[in-house]
Amino acid sequence: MKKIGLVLVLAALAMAAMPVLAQPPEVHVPVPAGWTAVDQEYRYGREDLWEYINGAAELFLTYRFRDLVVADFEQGDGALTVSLYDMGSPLDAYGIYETEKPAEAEALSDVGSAAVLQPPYRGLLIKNRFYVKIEAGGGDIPAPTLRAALQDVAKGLPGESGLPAELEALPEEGRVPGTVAFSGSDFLGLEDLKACLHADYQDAGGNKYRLFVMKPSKAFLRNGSGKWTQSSRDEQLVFTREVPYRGVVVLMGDTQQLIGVSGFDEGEQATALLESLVR
Amino acid sequence: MTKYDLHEVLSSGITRRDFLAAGGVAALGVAAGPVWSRMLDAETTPRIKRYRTLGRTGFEVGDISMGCGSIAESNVVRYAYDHGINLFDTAESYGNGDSETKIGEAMKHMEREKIFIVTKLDIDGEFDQQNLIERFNKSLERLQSPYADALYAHGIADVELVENEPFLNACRQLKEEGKLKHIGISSHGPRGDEPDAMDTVLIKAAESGHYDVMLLSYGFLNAEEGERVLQVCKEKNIGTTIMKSATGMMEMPVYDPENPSEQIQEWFEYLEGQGNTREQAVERIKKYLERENANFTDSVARSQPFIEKHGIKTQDELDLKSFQWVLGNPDAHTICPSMPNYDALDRLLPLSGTQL
Repeated sequence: MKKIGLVLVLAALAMAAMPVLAQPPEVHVPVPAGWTAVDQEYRYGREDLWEYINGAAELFLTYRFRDLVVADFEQGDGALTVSLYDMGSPLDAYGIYETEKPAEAEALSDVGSAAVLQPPYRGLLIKNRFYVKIEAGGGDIPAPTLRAALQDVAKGLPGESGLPAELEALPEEGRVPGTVAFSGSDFLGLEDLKACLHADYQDAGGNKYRLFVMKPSKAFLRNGSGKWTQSSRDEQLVFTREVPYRGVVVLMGDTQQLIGVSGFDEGEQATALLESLVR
Repeated sequence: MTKYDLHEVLSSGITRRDFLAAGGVAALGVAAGPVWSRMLDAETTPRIKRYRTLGRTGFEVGDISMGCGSIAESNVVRYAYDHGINLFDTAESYGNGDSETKIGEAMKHMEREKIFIVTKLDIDGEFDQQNLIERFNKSLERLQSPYADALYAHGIADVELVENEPFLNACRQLKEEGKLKHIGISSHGPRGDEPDAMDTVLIKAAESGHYDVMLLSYGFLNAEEGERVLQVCKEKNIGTTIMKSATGMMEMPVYDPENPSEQIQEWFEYLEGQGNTREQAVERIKKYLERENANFTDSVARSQPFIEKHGIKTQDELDLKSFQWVLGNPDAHTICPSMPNYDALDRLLPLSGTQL
C-alpha cells in the first residue's frame, strides 16, 4: 500500500464521515455571458432538498451535500436553470458526478475539473467541491450554447480545477483504468460501508476483485449491523461478511483505517490478498 | 444531516483496546462460513407474505415495494425480487438515470411479466410531447425493458398540471406503441411558492379519470390528508403506492459538553485543526446541534401521542411501527420505502403481512 497516498485518502474519508458542521460561505451562481438572471436565487439545504428534486435528494444526502443554490436565466426566447450543489469536498462532488454522469454523454476536457454534455438539454460539471447542472428550460438547447454556459459557470466558481488527488492513492498494480470511484454510502449494498474509495482490479491470473478503503465509524467497530464476523490476524482487525451473489467481503486494518476486498468466494483468499497489501 | 446521522453523531466510541477486550480476538483467521446462497433460503429469510390488487391495473402487488431513490448496487434489486418484492419505484431524476440503470442491470435476473416498474418524469417545465417521449425512451433503455408498467407525472404540486396535455398525450402515444401500460402521478404537497396541497392535487387527479395509479405521502402524521386521497382512490379503483410513511421522530438526545462522545471529540480536533480556537469549536458544535434540534421540534411534538400509545422506546422501533400502521390500511396497497441496501431489506421484509 502506498502509505503517503493512503494518508491523503484517510484524511479525505475522515472528513466525509463527519457531519456538515460549518455553515458554508455563501456562493452565488456565476452568470453565463449573454444571459440575464430571472428573479432571485433559491436556496435549499439538507432538510428541504427534496422540495426541489423530490426523491432524487436521497442520493445527494448519501454524500456530504451542504447547500444548493438555483438560478434561472433568460436570453431571448431561451431559458436556462443552473443548479449549483455544494457537496462539501471535491471527493464528494466527484462521487455524485460520476454516479449521475450518463455513460453516453460527451466529455468536455476544458471545463472545470470534469464536465459532460447530455443532449438535448443538460450539462454537468464539477469544480472543487461544487457539482453543477445546467438545464434548458424549454427542454432543448444547442450544444454550443450549453457548452459556453458550462465554461462560464466553471470559470466563475471559486477554487482550483483538477480531480481530487485521493483518486490516485489506491494501489496501481492490477488496477483497471477508469474504475476508481467514491461511494458515499451503501457500497456493495451494505449499509455499514460508507465513504468508500474503490477501484476494480484484475490480477495476472485473470481473477477480478474490487479493493476499497474506508475510515471505520465507531458504530461499525461495534459491529454495525451485527452481520460481520470480527477477528484479528497479526494484530490487524479483520471483518468478514457474506454478501448475496458476491461471495465474501473482508476488511483489514485498525480503528483508523480499513482496506477491504470483494469478489472472492472464500475468506482466506481475500484475507491473504489484504495481508499482502497491509504489509 | 438526517435524524439517523445525529444518532450516530452522538454515539460514544470505542477504542481498539476496548474492541479487543470485548472478544474481538476470539478467533484467529477468517471463518469460511456458508456461501451466499444459503442467505436466500426461504425458511430462514423473510419474504413478502401479503399481496394486494393495485387498483384497476389488476397487478397483485406485494404490500412492501422497493423505493429506488438511491441504489449503489444492482444486486440489491435482485435480492428484493428474490424475496418477493415485485414493484420497483424509480424516476428519471434519481441519480440522473442511475437508479433506472441499476434496475436494468438486475433485469436479467427477473421475469419481466412478474414485476411492475414505475418510473417518473418531471413535467413542470416547458417540455413538449416529443421531448417527454424521447426522455421516456431513454428511461426504457436504461431499464433494459421494452415497456414500463407505469409512468408518473413526478412530484406535482400545482393542480393545473393534472391536466398537462403534453404529458397526457405522450402517455397515450406510448400506450398505443406498447411502451407503457398505465398512467400515474405522484405528489408530496406544496414546495416553495407552489400553490396546492397533496390532497388537492391527487383528488383532482383521481377524479380526472386519467390516472390508474398514484404515489402519495401517508403516515400517522398526515393521516387525515392521506385518507382523503385513499378514499377517492378506492371509489375510483385507482392503485395506491405510499411514500414517507415513517416521518415521526423521537425526542432528540441531549448534548453534554462536559462529556462529549468520541465522535464529538474528533470534531473538536478537526475544527481546531482548521484554525478555530477551542471556544469557537465548542460554539460551532453547539449551534449546529441546536439548529438540528430546532429543525425537528415540530415532528417530535406531533409524534408523541403515537409513541406513547404504542410504548415506543427507540427511533428504529418508531420507524417500524409507523410502517406497520400504514400496512394495516388495505386501501394503501403497497408502501415504497427507500431500500438502498440489503440491510434495509432485511429489516423491513419481516413487516410484510403484519399490521399495528
